[in-house]
Amino acid sequence: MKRLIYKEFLMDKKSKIGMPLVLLYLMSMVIIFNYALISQNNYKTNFWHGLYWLIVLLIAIHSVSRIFFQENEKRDFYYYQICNPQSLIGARLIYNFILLVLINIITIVLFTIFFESPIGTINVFFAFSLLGTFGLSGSLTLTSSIANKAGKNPVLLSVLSFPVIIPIIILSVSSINHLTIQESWKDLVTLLSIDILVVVLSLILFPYIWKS
Amino acid sequence: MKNRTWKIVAIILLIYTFLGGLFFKVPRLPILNETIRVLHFHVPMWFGMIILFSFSVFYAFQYLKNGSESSDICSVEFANVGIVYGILGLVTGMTWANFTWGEPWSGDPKQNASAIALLIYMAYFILRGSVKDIIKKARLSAVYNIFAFTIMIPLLFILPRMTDSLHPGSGGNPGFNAYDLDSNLRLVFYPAVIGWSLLGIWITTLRIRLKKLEVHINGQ
Repeated sequence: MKRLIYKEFLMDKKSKIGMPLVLLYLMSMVIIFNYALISQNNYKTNFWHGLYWLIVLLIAIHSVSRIFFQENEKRDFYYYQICNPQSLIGARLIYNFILLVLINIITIVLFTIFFESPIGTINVFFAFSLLGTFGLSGSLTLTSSIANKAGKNPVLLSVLSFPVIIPIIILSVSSINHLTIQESWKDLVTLLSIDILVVVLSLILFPYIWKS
Repeated sequence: MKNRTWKIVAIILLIYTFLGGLFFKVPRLPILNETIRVLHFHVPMWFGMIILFSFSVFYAFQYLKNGSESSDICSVEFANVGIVYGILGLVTGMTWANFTWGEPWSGDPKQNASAIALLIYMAYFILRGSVKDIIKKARLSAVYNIFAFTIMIPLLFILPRMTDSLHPGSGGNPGFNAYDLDSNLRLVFYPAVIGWSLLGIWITTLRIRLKKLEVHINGQ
């Protein structure tokens, strides 16, 4: 399975505009948000968490869909023959997770530059951020594989994944209310359980999607 | 269906619900007063929706297991009527909230969660609409059905309980479980739940029969 992850990475590198495209998209969005909110009071601190998760979500959908749209049918057929579906989706999950974590970190850096960072406690923020990203990547992987089979429509991907992502976002944004890890234990556990649920579901359901 | 008694039972229960709900004596609590009668119409909608969606998921599993088109039809029609019940539940809830909480939509977690649950199932129908091939459509929608149901359950039941909510049963409000419900209300409530759920199942079976006939005619 390690080879599969490596393969995903190679494929992404092959399309030369892959990662830089996402980075550029990210930067332009941050700048646009900066200018869009400039007239509000305290725009730098008030909207931080919400904006942050908004941007992460949009970029995540964009990048995950980009990855899946690079698949084509003949290669799919080849994969069908040589590896079992669980390891394929496992590889995709892990690759998406790593990608999204990278995007997360870059977004945090960009946000700290443009908007002041009101992060209370780094630990709590990172815990929520990590778990939220995990949930995002899990649900996006599953829904993008569904959307991929259903006609490669990017809008379909967004429509399918938004309702599933909403509880994840709700729980992740609630990191703003907590100062220590002890306090936020309940929310973290809920987020973790949703993540596990999504990943397990993906592992179980993917073979059925794969069959066609 | 040859055995028609359950439909007659459904009708009788519903007539009883309407008459009893509107005419029986209800306990008067502050703020709620007589609007508590909506309980018999609002909550059974949600019970009915959950039951219909459970049937839908069950048939989705069946489809994945044996690939028969009839399971797929059953799954879709149960989801269809489930969404209708969900919308009705939301509308009755909003009407009730207008009188008791002051505004139809107060951003209450349970309200939001139920709106999101409806969005999930509407996305299910969009998914079905966007795939042309019948077998692929059925398989993809079965997978998404299971996914949606599994996400919906924590969304509707776990998340609102964890946060402060205006709804009874969460955030420090007394709940609607068996120990809190006045026995007068219970007289009408339990039959109401059964009656509305049976009605939902009846509507669904009619739609399934209609759909199967359509498919049969179109296939030949």
